Amino acid sequence: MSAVTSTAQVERQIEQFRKSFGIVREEVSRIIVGNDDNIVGIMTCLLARGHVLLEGIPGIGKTKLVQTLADVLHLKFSRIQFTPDLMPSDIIGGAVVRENEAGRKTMEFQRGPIFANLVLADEVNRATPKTQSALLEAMQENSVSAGGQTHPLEQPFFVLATMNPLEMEGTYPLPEAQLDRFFFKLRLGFPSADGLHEILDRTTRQQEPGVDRVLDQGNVLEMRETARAVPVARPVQQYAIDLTLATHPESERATEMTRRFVRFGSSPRGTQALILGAKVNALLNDRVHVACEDIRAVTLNALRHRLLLNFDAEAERVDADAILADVLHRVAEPR
Amino acid sequence: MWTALERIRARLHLKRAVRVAATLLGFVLVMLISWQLLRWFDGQLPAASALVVLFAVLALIVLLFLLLQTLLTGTGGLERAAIEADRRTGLKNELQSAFWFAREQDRSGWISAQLQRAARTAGTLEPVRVVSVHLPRTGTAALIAGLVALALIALAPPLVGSAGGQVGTGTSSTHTQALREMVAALPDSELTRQLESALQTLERADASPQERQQAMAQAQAAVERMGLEAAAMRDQLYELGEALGNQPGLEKVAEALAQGDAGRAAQLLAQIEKQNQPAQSAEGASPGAEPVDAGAQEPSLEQALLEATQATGRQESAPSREAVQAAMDRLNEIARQLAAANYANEAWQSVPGAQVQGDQMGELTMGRHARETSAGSTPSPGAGETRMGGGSMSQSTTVAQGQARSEQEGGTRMGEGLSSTPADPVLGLSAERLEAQLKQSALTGEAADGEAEEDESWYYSESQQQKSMISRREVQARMRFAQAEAGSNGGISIQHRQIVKDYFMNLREGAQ
Repeated sequence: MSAVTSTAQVERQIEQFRKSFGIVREEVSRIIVGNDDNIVGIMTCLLARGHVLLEGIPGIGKTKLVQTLADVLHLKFSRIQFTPDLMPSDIIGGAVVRENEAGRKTMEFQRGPIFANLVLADEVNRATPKTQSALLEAMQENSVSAGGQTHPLEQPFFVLATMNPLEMEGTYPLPEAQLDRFFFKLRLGFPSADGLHEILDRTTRQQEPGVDRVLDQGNVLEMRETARAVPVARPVQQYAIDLTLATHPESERATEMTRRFVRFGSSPRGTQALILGAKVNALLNDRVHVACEDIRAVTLNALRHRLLLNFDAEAERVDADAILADVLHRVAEPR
Repeated sequence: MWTALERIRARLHLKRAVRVAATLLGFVLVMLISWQLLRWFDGQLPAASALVVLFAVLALIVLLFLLLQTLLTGTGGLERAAIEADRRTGLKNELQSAFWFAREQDRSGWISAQLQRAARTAGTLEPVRVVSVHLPRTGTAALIAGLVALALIALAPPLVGSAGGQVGTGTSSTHTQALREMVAALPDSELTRQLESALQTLERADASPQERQQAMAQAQAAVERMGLEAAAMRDQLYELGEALGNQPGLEKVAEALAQGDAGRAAQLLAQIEKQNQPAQSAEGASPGAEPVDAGAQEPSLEQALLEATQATGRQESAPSREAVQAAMDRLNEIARQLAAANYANEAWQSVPGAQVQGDQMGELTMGRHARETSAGSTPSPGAGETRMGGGSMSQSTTVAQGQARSEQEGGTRMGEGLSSTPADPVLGLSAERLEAQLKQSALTGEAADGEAEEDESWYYSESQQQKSMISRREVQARMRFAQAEAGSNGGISIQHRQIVKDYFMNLREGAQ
């Protein structure tokens, strides 16, 4: 009886998950034109407890997207504009002297902008590595250490960092180890002509469209639990492992392209991202199990920033997406 | 779910059995078709037979690969059935995942939900539709095409006997019929019996291709032998004609003999005998005449003609008439043999595919029979006397009637090359006749080496008259040769004749 009840609950959870996800996507789409895949990708990261690195030219709507998402989810939002003179304390906060009514002065930790649910780290590559490390440590640990004390970050904690691929002068590109901490790396493409028409229609009038708060913090946490609960069969897990190993040039399963153009392949964190992202994708497709198709759907977003390419790849202008497409084409599903 | 997977697995087993059976059938078909094709060719087309064997080996390798693939892939257990069902129905690993989740001891609500969904999905599957036991279209088409090809080859008439396959062998019924007609028309002789023997071999149904080829070669050898004998007879007649040319009253007989027309010579001899008969009747029988011994050996043609000539000249009586009669009989006999040889040669030429290929003829020595047998004679390539091992050139006897008194007096020409295979052209001075080169160096002083010129002129010199005579004879000989070439019915095309001639010229010079 309990199994039947549990099954019914599962079905309800799945239904609720899909419904909530659909509402969020619909609301965000009222503000953000196009980029539906990126909206799904950001939501997937949020629900898989990951963080997103957004790459796109300026003015393409990165900040607007995160702001809209925070509004729709009714989450606490903060924005940090990364500059070379930005210090770690500017992000995580620091101890300040506070005087009480009795006139006694005490040191008190002043929370920085990272203490929010949705953090937009704008142009993260403009800050110094020291500052970048402070952000990335908080992303990894979900907590901040300052003044000998550890301050846990409120969940859901979701960082959305942006990078401008055009201006490399005076920037500090993120090291591979720190890139690996981002769950997905998404690329925002330039909108089409129709998309531009739609953007102009929405943003150049007297009143811009607004969004409703359709979810709250609790709903997001509940959706995160639901996403984690999706079971994965061993053959499908094996497929994710095969894909990861195929990106390592020294592996027996490496493809010819990998051996030629890749210096280092994806980390185990990449495999985790594959599975977690696939679980969200499975729920979105009304599946109670993860399929190999779900793995394939998230492979590019999950692994493209985890491959370290060699000089040949740069010389021949081969990017990680091409290598991953080749890997997806050549690695067969386990039989 | 398990029931559905069991049914799918059974269908997979059935499908594999069908594939294995189809592959084995393909094996049998390839073997049968190859065997039938080889039997059909019957060793007549070795290149085609080799191709058939090659294709058969390739097809068998491919079929073996398919068979091994089918056997090694296997149908597996229920997991394999689940994977196949997922793949064929687009279920996105649902049954495969359910199969794995069903093994786990700890079943959460999610796994139970997944199993329930998989069970519902499996219940809707129709194994017959999921796993089709039909062969792939290409496989089915190949099998049908193989069966049709096998039926066509089995029903096709045997290649042995068809026109296309008999060039060079001559074992078809039409050939046999033509040969039978030819043998029936020939007088009985050893050569005719040889032809009859070859014909019997050809008419035997169980004769092997090799036996048929040997029989054809035997028949051709017999026909050529007849031609050689006829040529020898014509030579003899020509020499007799030359010898009788200065006998008064016998000029026409001599001319007919020189032309090789033995029948006309016999008629002329009979007319002369008839003209002399009244005078002989008036004089009565000579008392000194002796009767002809019936048991005496038959005189040769030369003897008979000489006796007849002397008798006619002396106006003798009965014994001379008998000599004339003997000469006439002998001439008539020769005329019949010549006619038979002519007929045999023409009939043989008309037999389709009667030209024996060079490699089947072996070593042939052609030429005038009389010269061939004479010892120490110089091989004459122009007359076809050069020995040629079974190579690219072949020669066959050709007997034709000539009209003019020439080097080919009597109208007999032999040694015509029938093969159209050209020899390699000889370039440079070697293509030039040795006599001509010697003549140039010795007489006209055109030698390249001045010292050699002086030495040779010291040995030989000729008058202007001798030089002009030699040149005239050479020109005449060339013209006669060219006429004979143009009048022959040999198988060498005009464009290749010069090459063949040069070839023989070179051979002759090499022999000298």
